[in-house]
Amino acid sequence: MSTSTRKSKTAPDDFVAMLETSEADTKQIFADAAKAAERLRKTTLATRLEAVKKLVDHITRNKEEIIDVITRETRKSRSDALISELLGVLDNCEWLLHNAKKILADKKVSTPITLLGKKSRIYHEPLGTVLVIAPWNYPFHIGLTSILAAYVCGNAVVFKPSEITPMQGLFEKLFNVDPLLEQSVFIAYGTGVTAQRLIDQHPAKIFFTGSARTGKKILAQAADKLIPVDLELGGKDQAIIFDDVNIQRAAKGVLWGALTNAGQSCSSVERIYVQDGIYDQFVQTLQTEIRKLVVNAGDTGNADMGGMTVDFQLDIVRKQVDDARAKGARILTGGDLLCDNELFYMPTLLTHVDDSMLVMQQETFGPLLPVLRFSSEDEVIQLSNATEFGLSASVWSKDAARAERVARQLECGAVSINNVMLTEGNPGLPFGGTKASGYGRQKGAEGLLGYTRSKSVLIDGDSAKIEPNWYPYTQQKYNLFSQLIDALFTASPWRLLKAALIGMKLEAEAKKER
Amino acid sequence: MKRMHDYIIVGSGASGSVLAHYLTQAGADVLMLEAGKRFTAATFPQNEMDANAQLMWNGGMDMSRDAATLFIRGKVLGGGTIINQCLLDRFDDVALDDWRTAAGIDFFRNRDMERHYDAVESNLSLHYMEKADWNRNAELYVEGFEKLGLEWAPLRRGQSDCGKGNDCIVCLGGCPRKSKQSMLETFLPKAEKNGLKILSEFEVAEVVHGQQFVTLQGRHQGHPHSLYGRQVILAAGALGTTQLLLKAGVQKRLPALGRNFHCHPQWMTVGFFDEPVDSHKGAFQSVKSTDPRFRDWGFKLENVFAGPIAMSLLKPGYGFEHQRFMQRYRNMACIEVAVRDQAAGTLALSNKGRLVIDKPLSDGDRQRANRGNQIVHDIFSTLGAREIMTSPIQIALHLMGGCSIGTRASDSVVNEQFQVHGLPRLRIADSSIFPNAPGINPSLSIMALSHRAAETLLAEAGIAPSTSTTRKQEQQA
Repeated sequence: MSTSTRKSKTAPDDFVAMLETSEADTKQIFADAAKAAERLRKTTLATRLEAVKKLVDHITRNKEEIIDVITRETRKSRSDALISELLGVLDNCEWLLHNAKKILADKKVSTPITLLGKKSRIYHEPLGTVLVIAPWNYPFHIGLTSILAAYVCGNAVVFKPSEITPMQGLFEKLFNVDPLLEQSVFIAYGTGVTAQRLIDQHPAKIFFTGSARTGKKILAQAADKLIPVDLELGGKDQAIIFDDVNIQRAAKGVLWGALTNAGQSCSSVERIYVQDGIYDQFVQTLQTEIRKLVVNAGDTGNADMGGMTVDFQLDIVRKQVDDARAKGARILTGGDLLCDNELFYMPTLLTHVDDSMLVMQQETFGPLLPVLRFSSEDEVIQLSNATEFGLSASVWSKDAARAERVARQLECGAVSINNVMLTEGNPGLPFGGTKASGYGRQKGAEGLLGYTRSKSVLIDGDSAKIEPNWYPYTQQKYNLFSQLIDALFTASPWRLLKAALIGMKLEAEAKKER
Repeated sequence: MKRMHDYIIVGSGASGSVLAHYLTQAGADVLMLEAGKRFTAATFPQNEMDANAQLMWNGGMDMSRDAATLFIRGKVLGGGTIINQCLLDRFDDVALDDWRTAAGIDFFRNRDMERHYDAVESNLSLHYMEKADWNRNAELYVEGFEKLGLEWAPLRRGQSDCGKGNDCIVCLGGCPRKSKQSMLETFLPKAEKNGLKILSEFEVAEVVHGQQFVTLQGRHQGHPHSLYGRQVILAAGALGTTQLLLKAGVQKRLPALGRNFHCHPQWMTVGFFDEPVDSHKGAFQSVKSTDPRFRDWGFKLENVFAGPIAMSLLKPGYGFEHQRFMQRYRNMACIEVAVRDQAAGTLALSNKGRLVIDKPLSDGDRQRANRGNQIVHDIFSTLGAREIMTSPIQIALHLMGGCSIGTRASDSVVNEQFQVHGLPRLRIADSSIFPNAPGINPSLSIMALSHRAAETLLAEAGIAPSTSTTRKQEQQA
C-alpha cells in the first residue's frame, strides 16, 4: 500500500524529527493519485459512501485511542478533543451519508422557450487529484472532513497534515477500513517545503486551512499554474453583547467561545464588545467564571482548557499581552504562563484595550479575552467591522429583530445569534470567511460542490432539424430574429404567442438553402 | 503567588501535616489546603456547641444513610488532631499482619514500620498517664477492671504540659494550653518555618489529574479558585479523600474506590452513681483496656466521657425523663466499647454529589459490641451503679478506608508508592488507605505512614530526606 510504505520511507516514528517528503516521492504520489482518480471515476457514490459508513463505525469504536493521539500531539483538554474533533467529524460523516447523494446528483435545469424541445443538465464531476493542507489546531476534524468530502465527490486526495501535529499513522489506520479509500488518499508528511513540492505537481485544487501568511505563499505559487485555491485563514471574531441579555448565559457562552481549544480556533472569540449598561457586571461575571476554570491536559475528560500546541503561538500571545499591558490595558485574570517550560497560558481577561494594541490588530490564537465597551448599535457595527478579518461573529440580544439586523451588517462569513461558534455545529452550513479570513467554503452543499467541477450538458435529439441560428445567415432570418427579440422583450399579453409564431417562421426559414 | 507547586496537600490533619513537615524540610515547595479555619490555642471556641459548629464537618453531625451512626471529623487547621484525644499507640502485630494479608503490601510489619514510628514520635511529646492524673471516672474504670480481673494499662497520650487544674474535656474543642500534641503544636509550625504555605478555608471541589500536573478546583473563602501542583497529596481523611476521588469520576477504573470503609463504631454506656463522679473534670482519659481476650474478641473498652451536648444526644426520648437524665450529669461514669468492625461500609456519591455513607454491622460486629457492652454492664454493676444505660447511638471517630492500599487496580486504590493506580501524580497516605479496621487508635499510624509516603516522594524526586539531626547540625553550624 502506497501510504504506509511511503510513510516508513519518509518519516521516522519520532514525529519531532520528521523528514520532508522528497521530490521523487511527491512525483510518485501524484502519479499514483492520478491512477487512483482514474479508478474512482468508475466507482459509484454509493460505493464511496460505504467507506464513510465504515469510518463512522471505526471512529466510534476507537474513540478513546484516537483522542489519546490527538491530545498527546495538541495538548488539548480531552473534552475539547472529544467534542470538537471526534463529534465534529462524525457529524460531518453523518451529513455526507444523508445529503451527498442529493447534492451530487445530476441537476436538471429548465430550458428556455427559445430552446424548446431540448433538455439541460449539470453534472458534478470530480476535480481529479486535490491537495488538502491541514492546520495543527484541529488536526483530526479539519483534515478528515476535507479528505472525506473530496473523496466522496470522487477525487483522489493528497493530504499534508501539519508538521506540528502529524499524528503519524493515525489516518493510515483509519483509511485501512476500506480498500478503495485507502488506495485513494495519499499522506505526505512534511513542512512548507513539502507543501511546495506537492503544489509543483499541479493538483487540481488546493484546500488550505491555516495562517494568512502561508495562505499568501500558497496562492502565489498556485497563481503561476492557475491552480484554484480555497483559503480558510484566521479571524478576529467579535462577540457583540447588548444590554438586554441574560448576562450569566452570555458570559458563559463568550468564555467558551474564547477559550475552547485554548483559543486556538480560527473562529475563536477575540473581541468582546459589551454595551454600556451591563459592562461592569459582564466583566465581573467573566472574571468569576474564569476563576472556576480547570486548566490541564492529559486529563480524563474533566479539564476545561488545555495547553497551547506550539511555542511560536505562545510567543505571539505573550507579546500581545505584554504590549497591551505596556499600553495601559488592565489584566484582570491570568496574564502569564501557568509555569515556565510548559505551554499553558492562563485565561486572560483584558479591559481598557484600544486599537493601538497588537491584541486588537492581529489574530491572537490564544486564551485572551479583550473586553470593549460600546453604546449604540451603529457604533458597534462600525467598530467591529473595522478589522482586516471577517470570519465569524456572535450577536447576543433578547431583541431578535435587532440581532438579525446586526447580523446582516457584519462583514463576515458566519454569525451565531445568542450562541457562539455554532454555525460550525451544523454540517449543513457552509464555513468560510471574507476579507483577510479567506474565501471559498467548506461544509454544506456549497462546500461539497467545491470539490467538484460542474459540467453543463444540453441534450437535443438526433433529427433532420436544422437550427435557425446555424448558417446560412440570410436577410430574412436577420429580420425574423430582430422581430423575435422585440416580441420576447416587449411587455405584452401576447408576447409568447407572438414569439411562437416568429419561431415557426424561423424554423421554416432554416430549412431553406441560401 | 507562584502558580505551580511541587506538592499540594489537601488536608492538614495527621497525614497532611506530617507530609508537609518532611517535604518542606527537604526543601520542596509545598502548599497546604484546609477547608476549615485556622485557630490558635488562644482563639479556640469556648464551648461545646461552637466547637462542633466551627471545628467539624457539618457541625459534627455526619450521619450514615440509616442514621444509626454519627461520624465526627475535623474541619479545622490541624484536622482531627485538634478535636481528638491524642492517644498515640503503635499498631501491634495483629493489626499489621492482617493488613499485610489483606493488602499484599510487604512493609506492613513492625520491623519495617518501626523506623517510621520512631521518626514521627521524635517530633512528639508523649506522656504515660499517671495515677495522679486520674479523675473519678478513671478510678472507677480501674476499680471495675480489677474486681473483674481484667487487664488495663495507663494510656499514652501526646501532651507536653497540661499544667494544673485543667478540665481536659475542653481540649476536644481545641487544647487552649498548647499542650495536646495536635499538628498545630507539632508538625505544622516546623513546616511553616521551612516555607510551607497554608490556605485555610479552601474547600476543594474537584481534582483533575493531567499529564504534567494536577489541577485543584475549589473555593477559597467562597470564591472560585484553581490551583496547580506537580503532585497532589489527598490527606482529607477517609470521607474527604474518598469523596474527592469519587468526584473525579475514576470509580469505573477503580472498583475498590469507596469500599472497605471502617470506623471502629462505639457504644457509650453510662453508669449512674449516687456520689458525684464529675467525669468532665480533670484529665479526660487516663487508662485503657489491655486484656488480650478483648483483642481476640474484637473490641476495646475506653475510659471516656463527653460534653453535655454529646451526652444529651446519647439519651433517646425527651421531656422530663431526658431532663432527669441530664440533671445527673455529674453522677455519670462512662465506659465505651469500641469495636474492631469486620463488615466494610461503602462511600458513594448521591446524584447531587453529596457523600452517602453506608455502614452496616455484621452479626459478628453486633456480637462483639454486645459482648463488650455486657462487660461494661458487669463493671458498673460490680461498682454498685444505681442505673446503667447503653446508648443506642453509635459514634464513629476513626474513619478509615475507602481508598485501600494494595497491589492491583482491581481491588485497591493506591499502590505501595501511595500513588492512585493509573493517576501517578495523585498520592494518598491518610486513613483512607487502611485496608481494614486495625482495632487500635489510628492517629500515630497515619503519621507513620505519611512519613513513609514523604520518603517515597522525596526519593522519586531525587531528594534525600533530611533528618532532624542533620538539620539541627546545620542550625548549630
